[in-house]
Amino acid sequence: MKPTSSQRAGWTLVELMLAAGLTGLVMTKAALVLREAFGAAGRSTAAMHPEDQARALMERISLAIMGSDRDTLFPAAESVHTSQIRYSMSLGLEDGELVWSEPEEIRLDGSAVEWRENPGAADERRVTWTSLVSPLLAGEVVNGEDDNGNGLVDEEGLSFELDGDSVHIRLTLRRPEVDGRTVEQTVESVVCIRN
Amino acid sequence: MTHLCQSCSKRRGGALLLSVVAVMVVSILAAGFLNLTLSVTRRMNASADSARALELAEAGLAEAYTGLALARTGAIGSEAAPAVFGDGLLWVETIEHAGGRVELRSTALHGSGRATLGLVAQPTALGVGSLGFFTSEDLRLNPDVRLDSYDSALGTYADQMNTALNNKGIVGSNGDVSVASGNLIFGKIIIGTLGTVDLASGAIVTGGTSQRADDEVLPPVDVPPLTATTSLKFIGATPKIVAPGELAYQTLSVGKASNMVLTGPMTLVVDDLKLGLGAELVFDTTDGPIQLYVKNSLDMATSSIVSTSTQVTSDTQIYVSAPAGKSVNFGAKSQFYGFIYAPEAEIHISAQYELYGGLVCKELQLAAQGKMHYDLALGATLKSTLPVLQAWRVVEMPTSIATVRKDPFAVMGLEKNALLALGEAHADQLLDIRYETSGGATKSYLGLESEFDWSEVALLLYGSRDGLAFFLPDDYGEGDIVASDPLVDLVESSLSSKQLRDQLLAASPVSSDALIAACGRDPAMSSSDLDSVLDANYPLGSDVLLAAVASAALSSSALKDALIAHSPLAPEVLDAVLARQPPLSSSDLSNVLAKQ
Repeated sequence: MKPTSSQRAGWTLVELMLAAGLTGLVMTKAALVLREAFGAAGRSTAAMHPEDQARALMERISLAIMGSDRDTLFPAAESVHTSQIRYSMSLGLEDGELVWSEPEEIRLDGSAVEWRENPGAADERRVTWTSLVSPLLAGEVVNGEDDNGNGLVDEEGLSFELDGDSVHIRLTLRRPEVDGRTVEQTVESVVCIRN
Repeated sequence: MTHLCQSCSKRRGGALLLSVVAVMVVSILAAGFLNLTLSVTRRMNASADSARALELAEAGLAEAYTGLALARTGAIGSEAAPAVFGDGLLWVETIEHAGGRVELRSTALHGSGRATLGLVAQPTALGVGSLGFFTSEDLRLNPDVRLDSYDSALGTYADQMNTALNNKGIVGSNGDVSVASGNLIFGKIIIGTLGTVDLASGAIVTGGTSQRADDEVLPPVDVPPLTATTSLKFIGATPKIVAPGELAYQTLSVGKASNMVLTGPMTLVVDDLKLGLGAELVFDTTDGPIQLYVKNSLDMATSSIVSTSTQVTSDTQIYVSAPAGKSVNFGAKSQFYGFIYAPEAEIHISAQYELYGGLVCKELQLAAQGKMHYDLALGATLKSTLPVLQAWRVVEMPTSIATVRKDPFAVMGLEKNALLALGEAHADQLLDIRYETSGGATKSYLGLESEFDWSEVALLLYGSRDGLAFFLPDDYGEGDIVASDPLVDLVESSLSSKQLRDQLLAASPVSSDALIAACGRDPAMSSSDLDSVLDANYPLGSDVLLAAVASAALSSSALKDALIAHSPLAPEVLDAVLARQPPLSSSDLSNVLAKQ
């Protein structure tokens, strides 16, 4: 017996439902995988920005302190940490004489790191380097104790610690993301004052 | 079969569709991750390149800085032909300023990283410890001062008096030197490039005078960054012991009849130092050296006392950064073993402050009859040929370099293998060296350094670049001191017979060389003066007796007395006596022979 054309064409309802179900499953899974992958990539990229920002800011602060004159550094007291530092830096030679800059200051003001020239003077000039600084360094809580075990108590998101001719700089940036998460990045560096 | 194929053809495409979807998903994922990975890699490379460029620029500065100490110019490579170091490029430019300061600018490129750093340095051709007694302004010595030398590494000053080591003093200035009557300078005077020497009658300089090739540039005092918050003013019956460490005081004073002991190792910074009447200050360097920095004034009362616990002159160093016009008065009674450095100050030293070591200052007022004994060992211990680093900074780099953040070799069109390594890319200079080859032959070379093969050199004997020495033999500069004994120079000076007698009697016992020189002096000493000197130095050696016999200065009677005093005589002396012209008188000769 030869099969009729109606028997050979089309799908049974079961076949159709099975095919549709399997296709949907595969597509859903693929969509989930894509979503997860893009989510991970997005999170990774989001984490990169604060790290880049933190490293760039740290480099900027480090170079400023490295080029400063040790005698002009304020506060000059060791073994206390501070969130602001004042200095004068070398500008090289002019007419054979060493030239030093006007007083400059790097300070934490709220969540902003500000660089100021002639701080407090009428001709003060200021530039905000970032507005993403965490109120406290990562792992620290205001409780009069050293919560993060770095030897400092209740240190702010930007802290300077002087040790001889070296300055230990610690910085934590905190950035809220659109999905409500907060990305935090901490960097630290020890630089030697060259002048 | 046909049935089956017909069925297949109707369902063809379903699997393909699914496969396409799957491939697309995987491709999108792969592209996404690739993009992410590339982004991370780029970011990490950029960060690493930036750090490496900074390190390269630092390496360039370090190479140039040490090059300055070896009489190099400091310039390394150029933008057109940079030096290669690691996988990066760098070059160092130099700008020379008035006063000898050199500004170095090191630019480095590594991958996408770029950095330019600057450094200001003050080259120093000689360590200040090698300058002896030196003033950067004119030096005028008061009458009757004695300046000489010894080597603390070989013994005490007393042991070395009237030896060759006592005759190597250095009195120097960037200007004129005036030597007053009665001055005894056992050594040489080195005046400034345009300086002159004024030698008063009766003054003695055993080593002659020479002119320096370049005036000395005295580096400023590098005061340690210690902050003084209090003063230490001590008055008491029991001694005040100041413990070792790093200390700073606004004022450090020791009151009347009080005693203070500074204990090394110590770095002490004071604004003002004052010793009252009868006060005593002791530098106890038994356990370590003491560096005292005085920033403003120093005043030691006439009756105060300063002493050092050891005779190691490099262990006690006084650095005065006070500017001209401030009182810097070493009036104490002292036998001070140490080094005083005051490049901007006028120093007053009393006759009772006897200095063993070295002194370098702007101006010096040494009281009449003052004594200073240069320690030859100071040159080695305090020698510092490294330039003084005065400022370091980050320099804004040219826009043309800063903007193109790609592989520097590609950007600049350079072939890595065609570039010189960092250590070989110093600016070419005229090299003048004397050296020994591995075969022991002594050779010299004068020409461009780029054309010299340093592998030939087994031992360097002398070296200069563009006329500026970077390697000197230990005995450099001592060639013009001809006498081994300062008293020989004294004998050969223009002193009168009586003056010479007095000097030799004061220095007795003197060496045989001095006595022999005295016997053969031209113009001759008077018989009585020579006899007095010989008499004060009994017993005389055979060589001195031979010189006395040969001397026409001694009268027959005086010679007879000397010969009898040393009888029986050695055969060669007796032969000389018998052959003497003019001969001894017959009675004197009989008396001498009778004693044999």
